[in-house]
Amino acid sequence: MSSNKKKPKAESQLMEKGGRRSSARGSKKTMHKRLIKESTGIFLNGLVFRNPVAIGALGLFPVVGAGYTMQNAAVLSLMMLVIMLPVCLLSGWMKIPVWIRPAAALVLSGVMYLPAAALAKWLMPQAFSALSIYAVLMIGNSIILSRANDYAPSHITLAVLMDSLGCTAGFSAVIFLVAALREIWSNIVKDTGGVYHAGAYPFVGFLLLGVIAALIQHTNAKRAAAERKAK
Amino acid sequence: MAVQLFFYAILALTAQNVIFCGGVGFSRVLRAARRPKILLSYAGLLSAFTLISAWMGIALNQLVPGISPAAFYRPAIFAGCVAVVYLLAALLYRMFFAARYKRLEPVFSSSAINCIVLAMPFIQRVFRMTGWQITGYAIGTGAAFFTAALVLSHAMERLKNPDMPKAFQGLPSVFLYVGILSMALFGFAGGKLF
Repeated sequence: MSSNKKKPKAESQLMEKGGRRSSARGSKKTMHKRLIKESTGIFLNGLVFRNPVAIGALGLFPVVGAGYTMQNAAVLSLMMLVIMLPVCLLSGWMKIPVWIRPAAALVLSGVMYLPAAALAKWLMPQAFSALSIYAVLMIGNSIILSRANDYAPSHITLAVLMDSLGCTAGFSAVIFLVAALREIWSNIVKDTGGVYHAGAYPFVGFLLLGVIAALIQHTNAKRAAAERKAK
Repeated sequence: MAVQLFFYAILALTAQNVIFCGGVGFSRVLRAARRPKILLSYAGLLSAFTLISAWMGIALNQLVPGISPAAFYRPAIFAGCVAVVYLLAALLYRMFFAARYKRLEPVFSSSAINCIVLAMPFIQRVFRMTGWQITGYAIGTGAAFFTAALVLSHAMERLKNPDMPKAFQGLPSVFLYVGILSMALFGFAGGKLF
């Protein structure tokens, strides 16, 4: 039992800066296998088990305020990817005092907004202009800023890369799901003679997020119970 | 002027509430609600930064008008300005109010760098607000942040009720609760904010 308890700690140390030396036991092949396993775990945590939106309650405004059409979801997901990946990687490489880090992350995010906006404008001009303030606010997205401030500086590049990709995938999964449901709802209401874009109001986003968060919480509880049973 | 200031502050609390009607800054509200002991200081700091951001927005919108080719770079320039303001404020606090800074350190950066603060110049431009109007709006937004966090901090304990289905305990029920509150404020707005 005690060895089982120690194992996850050693695995997480592997992905921390300077932790590889202390947790490096076994051959290169074993190490490589552990790295792959850990990376997959980090990615899956961002995508499902510790989803930044539904479980971490981060970056809610794009989902709640703008995630009501699939086009909006596509633009915001693309912008998330283009901004988050370089911001987190660069934050991980920079060695600056903790209190300066949030400002550096914000400046990086602002700089990376420019190529993200240009790309989104070029690929989906109508959807980008329809986003108005929500596209600009991606600079201050709390998923990007919190991962760049808290996670990236203490983890190795591979972990930061997988975490950024996982969080982007998790964000995209939630926003696409919410947008699909809201679009269906809007169409049903419109076809039955109701108001136009009925699913676009923020409260619909909050209510749907509540249901999605409950679903993930239920899955996590079942997973934990199955793991306990297996032990 | 005072009437405009008051009117726009009320507007920011009700019909144009960026938190409930726009969904902006909600993750910060949740974090503030989890720290009831420093909630007032957190909201005070956020209001101050929102006010500074609103005034910087006026200057920025005059320096870089929407029709100029440089308008595309405006969000990045503004992010840089907010970063500088945060650094100056943090430096000031570290030098002169070290004890207070230590107490507020966990929330200091998040009260300066968040979507509510970043949204101000764009709100001013979109709604074509004058100096007094955006000042009132910024004050009202700070009050709206405090009210939302206060309401949630009281609700959070009740939303852990063990009689509730396990899957809905905690954050899922917070989302549903906020959804219902947002629906109530939607009655004031009558439509989407942005």
